[in-house]
Amino acid sequence: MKTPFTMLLSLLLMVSLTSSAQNNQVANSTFNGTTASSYVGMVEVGYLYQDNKNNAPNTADSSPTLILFNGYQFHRLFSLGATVGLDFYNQVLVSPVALGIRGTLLTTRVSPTFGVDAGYGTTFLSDESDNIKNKGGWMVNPTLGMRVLAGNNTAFLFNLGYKIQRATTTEPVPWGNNMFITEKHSFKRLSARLGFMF
Amino acid sequence: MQQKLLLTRQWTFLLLVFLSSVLLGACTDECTSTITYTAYEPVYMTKTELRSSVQVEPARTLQKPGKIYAYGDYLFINEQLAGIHIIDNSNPAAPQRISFLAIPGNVDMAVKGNTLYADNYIDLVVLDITNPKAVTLKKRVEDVFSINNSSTAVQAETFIATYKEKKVTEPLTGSDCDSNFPRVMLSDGIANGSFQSNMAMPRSAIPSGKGGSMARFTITGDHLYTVGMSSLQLFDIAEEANPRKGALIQLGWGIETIFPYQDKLFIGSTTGMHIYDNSNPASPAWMSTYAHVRSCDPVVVDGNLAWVTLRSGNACAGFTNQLEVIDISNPRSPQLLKTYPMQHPHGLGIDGSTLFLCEGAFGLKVFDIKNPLQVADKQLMHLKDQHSYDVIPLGTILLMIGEDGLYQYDYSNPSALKLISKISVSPAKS
Repeated sequence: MKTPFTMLLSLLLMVSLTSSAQNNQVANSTFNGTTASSYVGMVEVGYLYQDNKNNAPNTADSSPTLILFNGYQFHRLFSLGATVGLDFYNQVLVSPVALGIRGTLLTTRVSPTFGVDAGYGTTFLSDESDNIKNKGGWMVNPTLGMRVLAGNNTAFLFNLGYKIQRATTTEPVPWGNNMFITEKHSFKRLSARLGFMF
Repeated sequence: MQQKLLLTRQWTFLLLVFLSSVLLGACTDECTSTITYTAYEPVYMTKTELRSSVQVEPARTLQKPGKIYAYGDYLFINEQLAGIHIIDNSNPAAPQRISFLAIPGNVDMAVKGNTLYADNYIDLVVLDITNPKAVTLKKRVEDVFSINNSSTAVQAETFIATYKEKKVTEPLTGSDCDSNFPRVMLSDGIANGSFQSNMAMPRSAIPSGKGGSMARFTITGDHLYTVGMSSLQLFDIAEEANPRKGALIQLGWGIETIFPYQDKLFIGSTTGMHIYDNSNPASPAWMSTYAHVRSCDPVVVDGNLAWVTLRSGNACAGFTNQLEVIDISNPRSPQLLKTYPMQHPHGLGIDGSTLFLCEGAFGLKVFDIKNPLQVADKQLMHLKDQHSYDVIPLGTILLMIGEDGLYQYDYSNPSALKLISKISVSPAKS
């Protein structure tokens, strides 16, 4: 569990370093593909929706989400970077750290986009009582969306996707001695996010 | 160009709408919940097995020592639930392990003359220790102790020797997942679920605390007193090798120590100290109870004073750590003279005007108790960095047992204990 997390962190560091180094050199890049490669950053906010078919009482149908992508655009169709974020599920706050791929299909002002984030969702920011123990899990989030250019180096984003996040919560049973209830969550959500690309 | 752009937009829009409708259908959190708890499984032993279990074995290392008994030049050290170590202590500077007496289920022992009495789960065994190098089993009094809170039927073939701790994880059925606990309590998953029936039975049968089935032995005159969790069993040992079962006296819950002094019995329990008139040893009569807050408490009596330590701990559910001095000149109405705060007191021992007090992980303290009202000012020394449970002062040599070994100190000068030797304890790896 520890190793993939560390790997991801180092990857994130590596990518952001290369991107920031690159950032200084590329002055006139746009996201329409005329410039081959540059730093690319995206910040997106939105909700993770579910259809609560089981009528589980202690879960929300929509959970706020925030992600930050930092990467390097090798080609219009392929940007590689790291994604960090915050997913405010009702049961636990998950902070995913993931490897991200982004792509823009067309060179027009409005273009379809795609993206995939895959990584590990940590729970270290989740702030519950000491009795509750949380454990994160893997996360995958493929998306499709639209990009609307706003300027030379900026664009607005809208995307929809599917986000699977695993997490485990362990809580002592108040009336039992040394008794614990462990819940293995598999959050399967529709992600809808608005964002800004820079 | 304009046309193419519009088309693209429409297509993208359509695609997104289509996607969202498809995806939302698959979007429902899944959750499985399991419950983990500790169950206690009884471990049975047959009586045939039990009755051939006492054997002399080669010496072994101390793992979980209990009571110590000094007999002439020899030391008998109980290995909890396993037997007795026999140690040649003719030279306290170099004690020699001679042998190990395997007595399964053994917790305590007592010696009268050349006879050693020990508990062997539900039986009392009588051993001849005239020659500690060749101990022999002389007699077995069968089915006299009730262990694990259940009286053992004489005709039963097996009995519950111990409970084995087991971690159980099982699925929690019903719609409990993602729910708040009050909901879980009401839902069928727990109220009627399978784990309730599994749990309730063994949980109520768990001996409370680790020493739930411990017996305490003591001898005065021709009587052997054995204290269980809630009762006092007497044995007439006028004939050393042939103990006869005597009266059984109910004492109430949580009995821990028994200390005979002159014609009285002082019985320490988790809730107080009982004083029994023992002028007729065949049937001790209750005189009074000195009640205090709930905690663990060894008792030592010297003259008109009883010294009681109270300590906090899980097994005893107390929150006080102190030493109490109780005036028992009128045994019908014991009076508290003074209370001294302590750190985590365990056993204590008195020799003349010197009080040795074990502070568990906080070491050993030595006090001058010539004036029992000013004990705190008369601390002679504090042996820190030394775990200690219990002490036995033997004239000039102090036996002290701690987590990591049995130590022998020369206390001819009580304010400067001198370490003579150590028999180390190596806890069993479990």
